[in-house]
Amino acid sequence: MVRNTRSKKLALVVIPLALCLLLLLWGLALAQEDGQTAEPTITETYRVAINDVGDAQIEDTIKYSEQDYEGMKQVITDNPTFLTRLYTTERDIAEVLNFDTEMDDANRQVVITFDTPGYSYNMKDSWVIYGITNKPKKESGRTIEFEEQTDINNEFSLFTDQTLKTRTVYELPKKARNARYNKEEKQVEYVMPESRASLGFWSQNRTPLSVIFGILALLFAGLMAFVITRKTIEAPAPSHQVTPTTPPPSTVMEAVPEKRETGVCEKCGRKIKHGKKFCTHCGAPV
Amino acid sequence: MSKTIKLALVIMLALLMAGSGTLFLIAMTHPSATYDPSKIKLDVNLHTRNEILTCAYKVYGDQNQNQWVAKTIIKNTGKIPMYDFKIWYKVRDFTDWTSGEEYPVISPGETVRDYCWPALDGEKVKQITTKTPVELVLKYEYKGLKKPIEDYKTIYLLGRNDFVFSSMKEEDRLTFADNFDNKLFVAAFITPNEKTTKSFANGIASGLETRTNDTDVYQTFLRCFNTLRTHGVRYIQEPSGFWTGSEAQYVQYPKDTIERKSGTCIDLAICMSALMEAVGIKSYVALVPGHAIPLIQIPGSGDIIPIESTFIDQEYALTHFPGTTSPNVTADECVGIAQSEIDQYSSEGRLVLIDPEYWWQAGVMPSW
Repeated sequence: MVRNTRSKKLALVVIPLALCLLLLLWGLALAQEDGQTAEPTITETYRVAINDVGDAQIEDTIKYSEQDYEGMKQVITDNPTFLTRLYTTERDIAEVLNFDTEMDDANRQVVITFDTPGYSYNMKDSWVIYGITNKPKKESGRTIEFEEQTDINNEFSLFTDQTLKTRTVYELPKKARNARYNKEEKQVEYVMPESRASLGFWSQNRTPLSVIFGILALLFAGLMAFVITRKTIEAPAPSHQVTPTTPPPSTVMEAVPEKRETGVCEKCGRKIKHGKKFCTHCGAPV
Repeated sequence: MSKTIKLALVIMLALLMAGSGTLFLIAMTHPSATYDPSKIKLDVNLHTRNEILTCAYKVYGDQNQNQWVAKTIIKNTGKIPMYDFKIWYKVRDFTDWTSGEEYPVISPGETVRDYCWPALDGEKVKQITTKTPVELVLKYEYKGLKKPIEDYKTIYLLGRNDFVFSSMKEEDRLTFADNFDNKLFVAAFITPNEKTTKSFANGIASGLETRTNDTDVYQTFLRCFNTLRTHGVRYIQEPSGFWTGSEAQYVQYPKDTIERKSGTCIDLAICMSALMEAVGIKSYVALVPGHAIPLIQIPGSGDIIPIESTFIDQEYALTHFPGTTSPNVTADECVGIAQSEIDQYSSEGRLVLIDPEYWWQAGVMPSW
């Protein structure tokens, strides 16, 4: 009994201690890991909006610290082609159109915009954006996001060693569906509905549809002409119930021809239309 | 028929007639399912690089590099889709037709960017010694087209030893590094596995441990300098900017430098770099204003050691830089001189360091 109680007490002390030690070690490992990952000094958002025919509108927003932004602004003021020259090389012929750079002082960021036609390729079964080596960080519907952190020393860091965190966002067309990242092929794929001009239902049934709707149009036109040419008959005034107490004179006046119109042949009992002098059924004079 | 009924009927029939008429027009104006290639409208624009550096001809054949030789922008400007578009390229006399890229459908309004990465024939490229015009031929076809359409443009293949330092326009060059925009191609000149180079390097490093022993690695570097001097290598100057129209230089391969026993600063730097790499020592080439310096990395300490390779030519050192060194112009002294140069240019931000191993891994393979 004594031994059992001692063992239990020992276990109650040792187990929490071991757990605490494990937690401590885990925390230290995490702290060390954090220490190894440098905090980004420049953040970039590279937004690629793709339209229905695969053309891209690109907006590259590079956000700096206050000091770096002032430095960049000064350099660009002195050398307006400092960044643009990177996008106007022989390599970028016909791929960088409508290029523009804007300094956003309020947010301490440089915003570069340009268009690239044919960014996405139509492979019939799907559309493909090639050359994406990283796995996506987020995939939601028609938006796919990638994140990358790199050490740079180039124009964008004014040739100083800095850590750049890049968030790349692909915004696929509104009609896009089944968007996914293909890890093996390192590409983003999505499906677009068949376009109007892609020989769909209308194109495939052009002749019968033309005939059907042509005939229908003519038929309705004919019917309309027929209806228009028909004589309009004055609609008879509605008969009212005559109340014996207060009969309005006009109502009584209109009721008389109604009675005359519906005369009855005294010989055969058939109805005789107003104005007839003989019964149309038995020939008896009215 | 009463007036009201008649009016209602007329309105209803008019609406039905208008609807049917509209649908009739839509059906009539829609493209026919019968594929009619004569109705296809295309904009095909062929863009080419003006000059191809044959020293790095392998790079142009590698799709992973962004060094296309030609680029075609195809836009369907018509109203109907185009099917089975295929495109091929050929550098006349230097390649066969490329395998051909296929685009199953190009919708109206869609643009396709297609690139040409030709696998140039190494043996033929080797024969080019001066800037040579060649024809780049484009061929394409699509469903329903009776005969493929061809287009061509003239491009220029530079001589195997021609090196253009920068592809940037002069007015766009703002930094020192901009003058060496093509620095990656220097790695193609560093040919450690070439027979003559390898054999020369093995002779230098014999008896030394060049992989991990710091002292031996440093000794190999000094021995390389001394062996080239003993071999009779002299420093020569080369006029720059000749037939390419841009800032260019005739650059020798290590084999040429060893066999001709002479070379410019960049030839000597490339030669020493190749000899060091041939025996497993990590090397670099530094480009500073008007000059090039070879360097090695000591494996254990990680120190980077440069050497003034033009002083291999003892006479040149003594006549042009009198008093800078002892009359023997020792390799150790040349290390010190080069270190001062590197420190100075590095602090001024006027130094470009080329790491051949990095560029080889990135696909800029030695040409021969």
